[in-house]
Amino acid sequence: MRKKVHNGLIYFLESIILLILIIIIWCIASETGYINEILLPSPRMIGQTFIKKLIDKSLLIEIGISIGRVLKGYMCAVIAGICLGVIIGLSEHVHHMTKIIIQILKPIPPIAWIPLVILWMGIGETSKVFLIFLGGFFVILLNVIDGIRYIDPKIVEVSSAVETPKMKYIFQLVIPAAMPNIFTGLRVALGTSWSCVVAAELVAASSGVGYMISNARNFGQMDVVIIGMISIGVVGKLMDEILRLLEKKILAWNF
Amino acid sequence: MDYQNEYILVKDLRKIYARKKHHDLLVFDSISFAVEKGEFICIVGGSGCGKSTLLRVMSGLDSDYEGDIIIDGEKVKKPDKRRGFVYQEHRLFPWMTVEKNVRFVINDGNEEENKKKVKEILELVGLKGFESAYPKELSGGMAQRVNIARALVNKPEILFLDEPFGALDALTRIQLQKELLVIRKKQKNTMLLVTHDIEEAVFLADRIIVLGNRPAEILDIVNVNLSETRERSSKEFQEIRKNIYKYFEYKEH
Ligand SMILES: Nc1ncnc2c1ncn2[C@@H]1O[C@H](COP(=O)(O)OP(=O)(O)OP(=O)(O)O)[C@@H](O)[C@H]1O
Ligand SMILES: [Mg+2]
Repeated sequence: MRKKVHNGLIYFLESIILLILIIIIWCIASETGYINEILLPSPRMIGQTFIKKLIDKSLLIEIGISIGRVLKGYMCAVIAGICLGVIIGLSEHVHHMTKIIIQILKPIPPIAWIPLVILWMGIGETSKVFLIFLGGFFVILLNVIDGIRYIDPKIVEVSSAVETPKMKYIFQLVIPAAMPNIFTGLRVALGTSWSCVVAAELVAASSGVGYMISNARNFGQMDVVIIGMISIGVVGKLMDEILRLLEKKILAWNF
Repeated sequence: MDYQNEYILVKDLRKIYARKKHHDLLVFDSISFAVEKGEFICIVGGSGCGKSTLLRVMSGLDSDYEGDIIIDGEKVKKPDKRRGFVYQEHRLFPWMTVEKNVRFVINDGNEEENKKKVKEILELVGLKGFESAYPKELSGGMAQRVNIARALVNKPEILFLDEPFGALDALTRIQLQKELLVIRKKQKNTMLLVTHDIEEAVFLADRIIVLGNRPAEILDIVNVNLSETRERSSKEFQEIRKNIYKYFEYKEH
């Protein structure tokens, strides 16, 4: 038992040692003047700005706004991705018909959609949510399709041998069997949706972390830019962690 | 032989697997035999000779065959819930508990009744207390019991078993063989069991069909005239075992 606790501590230290080392070197290099503060602000400067932004709550507000947008776009991507994925995955014909379209649309980055999206939806909230949706949709769709298409035919045979009704087959067999794949899609998509937030908030936004970054750039506040970047990273990591826990719970049978 | 009155009739069965990269594979050229209601038939044969294929076509899982397979006067074209199938691998759904796995294959009746059915069948195969376990928590023997329960829960008239105990250790295997006989006595199913264990066949069967190699043909159909409780070490038992064993002793060059 003691040994286990000990190992756990070492394991934890091992995972953060590099991070700490980088910060220390960065501190030293900044304080001794090796790094030009205009090119890369010092950790001290960033820390001060960070605390200021925490106290006036502006940072949390911007992050909250971004998370709200991402959740909206992401939920749309989840619902559309799973529904369409199930339909496409279940039918060889539909799969064959949609394959080329999906394969062509998928590599187009959400940023490339911006001109069209502004034209269609204006510069309001909808266009931002739509860009985030695009960032997650194809990842989920493709994982759902694959998950369903590669279900072990032997397991399917168990069901077809007893003439299982279609709906029962889909909800009790197909979806659970594809669940590990679906979850992979959900997790990757949450990451891509979230990292689209900056692109989405470039579209004439006046709030959000993406806006915070582009605004700070205009004023040459690199410390704010870096705080925005790190916030995006940390929130992304936390969201992935939450999904991971959810996956462990829902897919307990798989672990 | 008067085929009209047979319960199960296989006549001039011919089965070819069409394959993409190789030439087509002729598994059976012409196989005929009959089974009486309530009989326990074991099918023995070497690996890859077509034992699983024979069970699959007979149960309707594979309807792509030539010749006749007639059960109760009807030609077999697709699976039917009056016929249960115990697969060679247990094929349990890992996301469902034991109870749900068994319940999945019931597609009629009301909730209450089905619950009772599942409970009874799990008791019958000795899994009382494991209803809410997940497949990954089961030993091989227990998983195979669930597999059998799933095939039995619809009260099939015929039970097809494809090497049901093949992956088990010798002790569990003997235990499950005995339990299978108890089940059969209670439920009076007709049973067709594939195995490559000759002793198992002699222990279980009323008749043993010996299959030869590609294209498989019936080398012999052996009557096992032994009492209901069989002593593996008895002289008669060993006699029959040897009798079948001789078909596999010499390999052609
Ligand atoms: N779906 C299939 N397509 C093509 N060939 C097949 C298919 N299924 C089985 N075969 C071939 O048919 C032959 C008989 O297979 P089968 O599975 O019936 O053998 P078996 O007697 O059950 O073997 P084992 O004892 O190893 O289970 C084998 O040579 C196998 O390669
Ligand atoms: Mg087989």
